Amino acid sequence: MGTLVAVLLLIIAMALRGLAVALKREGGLWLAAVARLGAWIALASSIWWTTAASAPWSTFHFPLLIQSLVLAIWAIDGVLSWRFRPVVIVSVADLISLALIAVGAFGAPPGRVSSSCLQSLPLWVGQWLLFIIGSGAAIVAGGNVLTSTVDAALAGRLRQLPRSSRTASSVMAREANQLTLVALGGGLILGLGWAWYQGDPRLLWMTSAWLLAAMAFTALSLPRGGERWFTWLTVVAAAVALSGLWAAPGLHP
Amino acid sequence: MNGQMSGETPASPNVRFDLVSRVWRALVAPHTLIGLMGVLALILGLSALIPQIPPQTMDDPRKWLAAQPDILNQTSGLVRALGLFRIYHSLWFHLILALIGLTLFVQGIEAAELAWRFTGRTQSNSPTGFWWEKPRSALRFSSALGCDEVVGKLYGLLSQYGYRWTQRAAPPALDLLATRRRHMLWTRPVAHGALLLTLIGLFITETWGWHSGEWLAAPGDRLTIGHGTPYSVQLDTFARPTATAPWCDSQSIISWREGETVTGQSTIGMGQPATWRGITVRQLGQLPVVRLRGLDPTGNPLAFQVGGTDQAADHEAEIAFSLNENQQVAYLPSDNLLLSFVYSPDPGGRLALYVSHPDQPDSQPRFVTVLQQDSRVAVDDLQLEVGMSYRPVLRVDSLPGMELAIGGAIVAVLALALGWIAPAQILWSSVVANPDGSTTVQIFTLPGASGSRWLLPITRQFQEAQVQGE
Repeated sequence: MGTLVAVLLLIIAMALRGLAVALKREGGLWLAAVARLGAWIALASSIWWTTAASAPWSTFHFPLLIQSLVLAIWAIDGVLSWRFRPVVIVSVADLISLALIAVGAFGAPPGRVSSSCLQSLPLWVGQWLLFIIGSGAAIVAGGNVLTSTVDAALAGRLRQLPRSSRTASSVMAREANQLTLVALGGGLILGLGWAWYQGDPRLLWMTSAWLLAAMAFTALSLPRGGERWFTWLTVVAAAVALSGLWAAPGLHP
Repeated sequence: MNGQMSGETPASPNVRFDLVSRVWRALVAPHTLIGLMGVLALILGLSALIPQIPPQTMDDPRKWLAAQPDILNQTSGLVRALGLFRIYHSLWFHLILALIGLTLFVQGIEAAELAWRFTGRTQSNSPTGFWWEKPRSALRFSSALGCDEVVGKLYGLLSQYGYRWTQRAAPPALDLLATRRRHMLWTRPVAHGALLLTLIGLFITETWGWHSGEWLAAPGDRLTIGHGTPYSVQLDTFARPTATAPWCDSQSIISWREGETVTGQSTIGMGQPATWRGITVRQLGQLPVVRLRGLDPTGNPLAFQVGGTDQAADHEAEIAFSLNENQQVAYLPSDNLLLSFVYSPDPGGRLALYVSHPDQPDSQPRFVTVLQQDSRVAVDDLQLEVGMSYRPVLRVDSLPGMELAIGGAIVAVLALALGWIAPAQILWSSVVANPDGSTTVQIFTLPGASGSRWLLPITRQFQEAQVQGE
């Protein structure tokens, strides 16, 4: 129920922002921000209710894991949007969030409780908290470079869109990329001790995602084509982080 | 005889220097690090998809390979030739790590030189001379305002944002270098150096480290440390702190021994390892052990078969779970009854008992009860006495270099975080007075800084100034 309310509020927020940008009404942006905050609270309440009432939070409980990831995406995207004020009609990060919630509700394997006593250790919890924040940041970065690309294409057709909105999305992508490096890096440090004797393949995927994010960060120093490389590497890093959190364990033969 | 007369041309020091210089420049190029990191990410992805030979089966990898899915068996020739079943021990993997280390070293030196240039006593006021010889143009515009007015606005803006500037040339072609938090330039060489230390630490761990594998120990069991050493570790006790505490809170008391002499004793638990002379004992979890006895309706003891129908039946059976097994069975030949014990290791542990008849393969196993402690269980007209205990899963290992790896990684992430939160802000500005009275302003940054969040407000304000000027 809470998830449904969150999705409805997010759709309202997206519609309000699109209208506000198209009609150049700043009040609409404020309403969209309020609706977005409401969506975040509804989703957080839903996670809290699920963990209190039925299943404890676990990295193997995929629906809860995805909801937590979406919560992180909204928090990071919300803070960065508040800071840099991008003026975009459609945010790709929002669309990814909606797709993730749909997958979590209908396509994710049934959740199960923790399979190890490690789950109750603060270091383990901290590691996964950082992985979720880092993966959320990777998705926000990927979403914003795509938003910036879509926005650039739209700006070619709709001249009234300001160039600064593209710049803001691009800056948001860079900030999210650096948050990915720090959060995933922190999670990997906490996992380094476990990794040596716990064969969780998700650590490998997270390391790959960190390397891809570092590649994107380094690509900005390239003499030519750095922005283009940054775009693609950021998108791939987001995809790998998502695989690492969710799909990868099932792929291992 | 000189080289020309013998038809050979000896390499002059300049040629050698040129070669070193070329290699240096190749390693310093961002492309190199990006390419190497890409290969490493690909390898990690492959190792997550292709199962790796476990250390305990290293003696007979063919047997292990035969147990793998068909698709891996069919392609095993190619996969084996590339060493993909043992990626982390392959020569080319170590070669890539060595190249990454060398690249980090070279780039760290370059980054340190850059930081030194801007923070040393003789501060650089030139962007040239390094591999970033061509600083990026972050903004270029022409203003209808006069040069003095534009320069006044420029100084006002730089002061507003807390920049310190050095004037390199006077109007009408003003050239200045503006810096803020220039000491943060050191975060990059520190991050490179720390990542290099992490790599070295991991290499030491991988090369000289060892581990015992998982050790399912009963109190009194002893494990020799290393080969031919007098050292051993013994599990003395394993228990929960209180009778009602979850099994995840259980603790093991171990003793370190040299021959028969006890040299020390330690208490370990989940996430609480104990270390002695570089040897660490960790508790990874615990697994149940079930002892079975029983009576039939006439009061005669029941005989159990454990481990297959070819095993001898015994009146007292012990069923010990091992790693990666969540089900164990005991067979009662006299009643043709199969007892299945299913273990779910969620916090607290849950052991469930099911019964079924092997001659009725279509019938579902019938749930009997959840076993939590020693208990008597009635199954049909049989009386079972079930004794329950747990054994810890321990691991003894030595990971030299792990402290170096973790310490390096912590410093690297802190340096990355610092460089992100408070980035060094370096700008070059060129202001040129045009013959028509207008002014052209161009702002440059270091590669990678273009489009950063700290540059966004300053370029916005310049753009606004441009609009006002027009």
